[in-house]
Amino acid sequence: MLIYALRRTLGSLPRVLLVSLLLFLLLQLPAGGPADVFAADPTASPEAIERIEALWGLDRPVHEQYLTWLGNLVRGDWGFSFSERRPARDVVLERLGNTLWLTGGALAFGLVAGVALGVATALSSSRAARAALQLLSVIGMSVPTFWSGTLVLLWFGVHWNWIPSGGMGRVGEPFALTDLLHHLVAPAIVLGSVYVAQWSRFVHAGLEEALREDYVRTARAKGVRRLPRVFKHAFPNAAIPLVTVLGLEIPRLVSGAMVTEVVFSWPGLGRLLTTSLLGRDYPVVMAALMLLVALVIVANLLTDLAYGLLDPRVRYG
Amino acid sequence: MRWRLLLRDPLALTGLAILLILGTASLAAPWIAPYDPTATSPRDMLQAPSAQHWLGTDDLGRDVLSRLLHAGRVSLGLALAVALASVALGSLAGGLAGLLGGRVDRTIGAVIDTLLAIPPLALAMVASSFLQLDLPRLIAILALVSWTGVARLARGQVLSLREREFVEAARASGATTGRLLLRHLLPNAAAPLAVAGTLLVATAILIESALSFLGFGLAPPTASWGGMLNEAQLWFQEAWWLAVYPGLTITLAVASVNVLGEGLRAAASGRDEGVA
Repeated sequence: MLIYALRRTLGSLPRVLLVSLLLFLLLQLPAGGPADVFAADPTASPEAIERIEALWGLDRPVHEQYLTWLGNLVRGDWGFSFSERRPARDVVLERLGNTLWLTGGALAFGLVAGVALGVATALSSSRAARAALQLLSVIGMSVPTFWSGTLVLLWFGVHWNWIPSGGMGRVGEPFALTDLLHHLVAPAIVLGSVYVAQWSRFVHAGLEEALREDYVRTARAKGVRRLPRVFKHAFPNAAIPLVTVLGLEIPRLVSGAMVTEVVFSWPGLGRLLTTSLLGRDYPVVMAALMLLVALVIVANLLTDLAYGLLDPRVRYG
Repeated sequence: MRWRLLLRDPLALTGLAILLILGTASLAAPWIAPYDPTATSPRDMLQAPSAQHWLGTDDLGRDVLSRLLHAGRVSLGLALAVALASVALGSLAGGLAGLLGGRVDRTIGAVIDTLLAIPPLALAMVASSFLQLDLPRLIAILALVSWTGVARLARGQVLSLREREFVEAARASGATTGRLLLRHLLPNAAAPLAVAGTLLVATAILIESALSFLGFGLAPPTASWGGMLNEAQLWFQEAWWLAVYPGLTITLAVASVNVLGEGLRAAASGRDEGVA
């Protein structure tokens, strides 16, 4: 398994390279190159602009710029933030943890609530429960996160003052885990609710099928009680397709997190990407993008490895 | 395709009806909208919903209902175009990969893997902020982030079809690759591709509105539903109707497309999910 993990990690390197090349080329598109930001400043003299272009290597051919950038990236030099006047790496890595808190919280909520709902409806097997689940999953798939987030913030935050109106903690106070969690609840539920809808349906369908299998009937005949029968015998098999969708959903989860971060002023990578794109802070844009891509690839790798833990039939060859 | 199954699916039919209403209303917006969507009127700013302005007015005194109707042309038209472009691109690329295999398959697979590693919204944000954004370019960008799923589907379909006898017969009678793909393979995969295309309309509405909400959409005065939410953000506390109605319209449209797509999927696979 360790060898498999290593091989998969190495195997994803070409993918990372391709992505970085694609993103780098995208950033060379015509409108508003980095030097334009300075050129737009009326006090900047042509010499100053030239000097800045030479300093950041913007006057050299694209392929040279790319190779230089790539070499620097590998050596740990991720460029210098135009707007914050400090290394882009520091700016970006500060935000990574915050995004992980949010996506982790949303995943946890989505999994717990989704599994609970799916199991409950699979066991009740009433038509009404099934219809309600279907309707709920349609709504969950269709409500845009930025809208539900805005409404939650307006009603529960501003109007009723139940939740903090954004950010990760009270301003000016030392870090406290309870404070962080207090701020995390609303955005994590908003982001996670999309997946509650989807995953509960998968759990429902998978569990319903597993409960009809012979090994569950055998367990019942041997006198295994209902709850252990469901959770020890049927559920692990129903959970395997869940891991598959989970892996496929990661890019969209990260996209959703970006929007949620903006709505709830959560200082994560998505919010950073939005502000640095609007401010044309290229090194930060590039570093944030690469980190988001790395997040997706690592998450994909982890889901693949999770198969092995859940399904002993999977062999890593 | 078993259309009878679709006719017996009340949820899908409701979705279809809502979409028809939304679509017709948006198309007819210039004639049925009560006000000019861009006409500002300082006297009427931030009016709550009333008999004159059914859904209220925004901070510039523009009628929200009229703007919603006109924005529907952008949001729905764009989503439809994105879905069509994605299905065309995806079935061609995926079909070729499945039919030719080998190096072509590996190349297309690598492109798809690359695109799938980038969160779709991030890619769309980057692309639209570095281009002079107009409608055709926005359609191209959104198609770029949505065709990969269709391509995988088309590849799988072609792989399962290409060894069938009718394909062999076409090959034996000298059909070219293009003819094989367009005349024999893809038409036989039309049902699943159409289902995927329908569901893509929902995804396209969502991603376009998210993009506009974040400020990376089309420049004003062209408004989409997401763009309306973006413009009104500062006023949400004073004017709830500015926050509620555009979002509700997006949700309604997306939910309708989703239930219709699910209904079509059930009809295409010949399974009645309501009974199974």
